[in-house]
Amino acid sequence: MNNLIKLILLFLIISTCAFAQCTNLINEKYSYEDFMNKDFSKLSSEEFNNTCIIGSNFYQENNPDSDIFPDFKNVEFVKCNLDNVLIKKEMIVGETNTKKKMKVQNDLQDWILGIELKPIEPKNKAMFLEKDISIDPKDIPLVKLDIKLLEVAK
Amino acid sequence: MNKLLLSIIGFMIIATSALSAPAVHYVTVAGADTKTGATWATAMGYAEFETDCEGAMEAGDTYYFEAGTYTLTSDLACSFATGTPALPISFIGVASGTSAEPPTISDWAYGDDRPLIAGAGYNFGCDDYCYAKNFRMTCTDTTCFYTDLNSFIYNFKVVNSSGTADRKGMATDDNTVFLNVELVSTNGIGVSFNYAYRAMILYSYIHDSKNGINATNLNGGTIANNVFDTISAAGISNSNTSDKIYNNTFYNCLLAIDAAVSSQILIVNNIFDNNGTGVSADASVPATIIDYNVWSNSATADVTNVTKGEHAITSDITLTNPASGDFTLPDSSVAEGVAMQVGTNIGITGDYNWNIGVDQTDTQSGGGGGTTSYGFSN
Repeated sequence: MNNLIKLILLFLIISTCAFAQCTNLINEKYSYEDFMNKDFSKLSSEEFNNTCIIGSNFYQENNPDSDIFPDFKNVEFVKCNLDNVLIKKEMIVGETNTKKKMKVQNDLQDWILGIELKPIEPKNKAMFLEKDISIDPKDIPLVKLDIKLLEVAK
Repeated sequence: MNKLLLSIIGFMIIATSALSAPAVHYVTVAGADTKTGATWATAMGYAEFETDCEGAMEAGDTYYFEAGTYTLTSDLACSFATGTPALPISFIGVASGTSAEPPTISDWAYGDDRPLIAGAGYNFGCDDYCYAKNFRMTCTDTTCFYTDLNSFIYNFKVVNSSGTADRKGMATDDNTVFLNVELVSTNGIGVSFNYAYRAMILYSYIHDSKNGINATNLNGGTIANNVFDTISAAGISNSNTSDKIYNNTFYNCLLAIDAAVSSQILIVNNIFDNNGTGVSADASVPATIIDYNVWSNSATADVTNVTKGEHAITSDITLTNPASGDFTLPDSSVAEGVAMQVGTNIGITGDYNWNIGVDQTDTQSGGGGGTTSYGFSN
């Protein structure tokens, strides 16, 4: 029984390592770069086809499902930030990446979104819990908080 | 059996001692070989670093980061351990191609060769006695980089470009020192002090932000030798009791210093140029020392509810080229040699020639101004 568990663990470790690697050639131009809020949709797909992009930031602030890439083919992403990026069919996105959808709500905080882009929980959940603020989306204010009023309240 | 037990206990003690020794770790964007971090040849990648700093970091540990882009895929909370006065936890950026083990100061990274933390919607934080040197960071989170007490931040540029108001570049607590930092928070605050007594921000550039420093909770803080440039609200908002604000240059701020309702603030040797208002208080603030400042081209008023002081210079000062980031004084400026300074009235001789503002150039014949015995009439 113990041997079976060891085998399973070994398989899990090996598969995790395998997923963290590229099978395509590494795309040197687009790896290990900060492309926050950048749009590549007008670029030629040749820049990306059959390559692997490692460790880059493609985060699109406050704009879930941003369609930022051209219609390329067979592009792997490893250890990238793809939050709010529209994940298309030809993107191979493993578990080493982040691909959440996030948007600022009326409480002026980022919330992680679920189905139909409805807020599920605050991105800074730990801070909410520490300050004893509700993490229930139902408690998000119905109208946007006025930062000037907040400043007066302070 | 007893011997076996003793051997096991002995081994555990030795192992624990070995594990608790502060270590030097090496980090590169991709990592190398076994990725243990023990040498550059086996450097950690970002994922291994994150695992280490969030689950195995110890007081006294030092992490050297080679230049490159490190992308966050979650909050980076390096608070598994807290530094101590004798054993701070250090994160140090070094230049591309550094091979020295450990690196020396000559390997430190500057400018665009500093490691870049691509924060995206996440943050990077550490606890007390956290030393972070030679980095750049971008993010849109509520705060990009934060530390707790007694930390030291050097040569660190943070840009929070969030479209949401009042997000922060950096935040900290008591006694933290910011030295040579560059802060931009497009719609928010460059640095915010959370219940921070005696913190300091020195020789730094805070620009293109809504507020430069939120000093609401900065008591007894020191804000000196900084440039505040293009601030759409206040360069220093809500300056607090016993704050010392000297030798700064405030340029193109809607309001340079909001003295609010605090008392015992020292505001001397600063240049206020091309701002809406220089210094404003909600009402007359007691025991506040404001003097030896240059007031130039205020669109609304030099001061509101405070006085400029007996040695104030109200003159159209022309800085060299602020639009291109050059805040130096032109030759023979009125700010040369006339700042509050040590002088002959305290029993010393010589001309110590201290200028108002950040630039301490000396272009005037005879050593510039500054020969007067300075003092207050009351």
